[in-house]
Amino acid sequence: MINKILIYLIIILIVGCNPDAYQLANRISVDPINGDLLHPSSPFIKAHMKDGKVYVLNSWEMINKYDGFGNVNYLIGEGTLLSVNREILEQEQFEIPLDSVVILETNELTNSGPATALTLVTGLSLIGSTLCAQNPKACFGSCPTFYVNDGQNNIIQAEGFSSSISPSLEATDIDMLYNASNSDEIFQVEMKNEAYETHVISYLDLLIFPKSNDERIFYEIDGTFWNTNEIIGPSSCSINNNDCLDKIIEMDDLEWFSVTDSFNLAKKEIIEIEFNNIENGDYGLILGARQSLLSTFIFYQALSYMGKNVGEWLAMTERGEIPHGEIFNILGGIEILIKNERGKWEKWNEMKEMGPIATDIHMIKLPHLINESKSIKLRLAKGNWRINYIALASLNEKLEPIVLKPSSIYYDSKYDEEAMNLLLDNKQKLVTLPGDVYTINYEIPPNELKYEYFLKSRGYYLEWIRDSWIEEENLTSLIKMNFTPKKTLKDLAPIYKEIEADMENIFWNSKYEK
Amino acid sequence: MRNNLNFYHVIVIIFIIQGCAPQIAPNGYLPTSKQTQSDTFGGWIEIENENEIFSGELIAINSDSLFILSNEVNEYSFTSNDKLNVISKSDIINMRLDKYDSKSVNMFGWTTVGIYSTLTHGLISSFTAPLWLIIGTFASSSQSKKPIIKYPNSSFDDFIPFSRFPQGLPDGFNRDNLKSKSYLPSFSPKTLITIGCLSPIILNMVLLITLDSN
Repeated sequence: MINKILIYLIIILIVGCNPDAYQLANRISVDPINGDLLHPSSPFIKAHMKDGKVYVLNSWEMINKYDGFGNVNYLIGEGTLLSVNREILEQEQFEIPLDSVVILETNELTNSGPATALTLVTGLSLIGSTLCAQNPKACFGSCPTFYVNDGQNNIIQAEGFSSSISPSLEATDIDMLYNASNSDEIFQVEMKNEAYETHVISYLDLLIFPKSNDERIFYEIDGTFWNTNEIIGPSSCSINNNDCLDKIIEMDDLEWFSVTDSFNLAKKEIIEIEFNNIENGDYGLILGARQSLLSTFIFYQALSYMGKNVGEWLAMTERGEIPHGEIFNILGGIEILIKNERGKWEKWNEMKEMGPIATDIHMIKLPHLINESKSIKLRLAKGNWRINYIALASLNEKLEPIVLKPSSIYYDSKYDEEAMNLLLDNKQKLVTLPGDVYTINYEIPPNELKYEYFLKSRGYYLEWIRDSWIEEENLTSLIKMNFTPKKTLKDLAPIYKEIEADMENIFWNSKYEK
Repeated sequence: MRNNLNFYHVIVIIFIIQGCAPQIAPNGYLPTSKQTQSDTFGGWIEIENENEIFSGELIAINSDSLFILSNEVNEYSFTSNDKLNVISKSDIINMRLDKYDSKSVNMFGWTTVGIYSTLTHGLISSFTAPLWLIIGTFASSSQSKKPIIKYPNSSFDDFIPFSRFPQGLPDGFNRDNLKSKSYLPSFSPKTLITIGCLSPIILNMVLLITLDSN
């Protein structure tokens, strides 16, 4: 109920904040000989006559014409002649000799400064309320970033609820902490807000699975966890006859990626992967990947096109009044193709997890057809993904995790009871601002076995609108982006190509730190 | 919303009390700024001299007098009549004219809704709520003053363009036949908006006082 009331409030806010309703009128009232002082763009002109009558004309103009005796100036236009009590006397096309007019008057409308100020506040406020019904991953830290120890250093291992860019898109995200290493009774996660964003976190749970040394647990897109004792690396990886095996064989610093097409950002490419040593049984494809900055670029471009009306546009897209998100559907995720019984390649599934920061590891369960073909293809938009790891895992059984709630939270090295209570209470949310860093501890049950760690987070984030975005307002391009997304992806190709090479550097240097 | 907004609340109450310029014309009389482009009636004027206050439509201004058309109720017949009052310029102490409806009341409403909308902002409402309160109140207050001119700050000549007859009273016209503008009195949401705007502020202050006293 409260949510509905708030939605109504926001709608009223959008409707009420039409700055045109608050325009100011500047009146100019002159003797006809000074007619050049009038506002030429004024839609109406009033001609006050000596007898108190007044002409109100629209589509008016001044002309000079010969009347048989000499040149005379006339005011011509269509309108009405009103009496002293302002009753309509005549309504037609008039041609009024200017020498019969005592006073001419126009009124020009100008934008109201106070309304402009309030519109800006509304924009800020709406960003806080309804930001971003569009669905891309934004710039650095577009969601909380999670740093976990890998045995040597605290490294970024996950980003939470990457696609949840507005309250209505609040979602739960599960990220595998693939490189996490911990031998203590306390498992520590550092949660940072490193961008100009507001993060709203409902909860942050640690999911753990006891495991043997040669065992790993993976999270399937449909929400189940599987364990495996056998991971099979690909025997070959190629794209356009170029080898890519060394880039994707290990989960390490090496990533495979390509650049976008020069003429069409939606152009796809196909990676061919083969596996040996596949026997009968259930297999899952392990895919470690993150997005490039292509979708970030498109997201920013959309916000720039919205300009100062960004709040209004986003609210409209969230209400479904204009199409949105189609451009990201066209870019797509990573499609997994399998050979069917007839030997034809067809799409089996798609990995869509968004985010350009941390490599997400997902498992996609494959059909038994893989046992025959021993190969898969990945189809993806050129330059849209960076792939770190591809493997097959033979699947043993489904598992249920042990769910751990935070045992303590520290902010600026001080115990933060309020944050602790907010994260433990499902009805409340922890809000973080740029530069905030929280250290969250979990008590690990004593066990002789090691653990596999996953982070389960729920929340959303709100992008802060930058001044430079407002300067690029372009309604036509925004409409094109929403209604002809395929064409937009072609139009934007040369613009993106100009900055593509430098984007990663700029991105990683744009982290916000206190 | 956190209680640390109270400092701003006090500021805003001061703004609201001192800053607003409520419209003096009857609701529905004044055109909007857009309508004023084609409206041919005079603005609404209130004139104060030593003995009384006149209000009505500004009809004309000549070298020594102002003419305003007031709609007066006959206390015996309970009928209303238009009456053209002539006021000598030399008797006038203060005078104010509203040219058009600035819609500042709607702007107060806009601000009120904006304040309530910050309930969706969680902790950052401690930033956005005061922002709404301060900018909204300033903006509404400023907007309410835009279409107003006052004497003696402005000269009599500045008022002339906003009279029904800026050319002066027409020759030979019958003053008794002059009729005032007919308009539909409209509902003003001023009271509701004021209550809506003040309620979160007052509530917060009461809470603060209660907490302090405990």
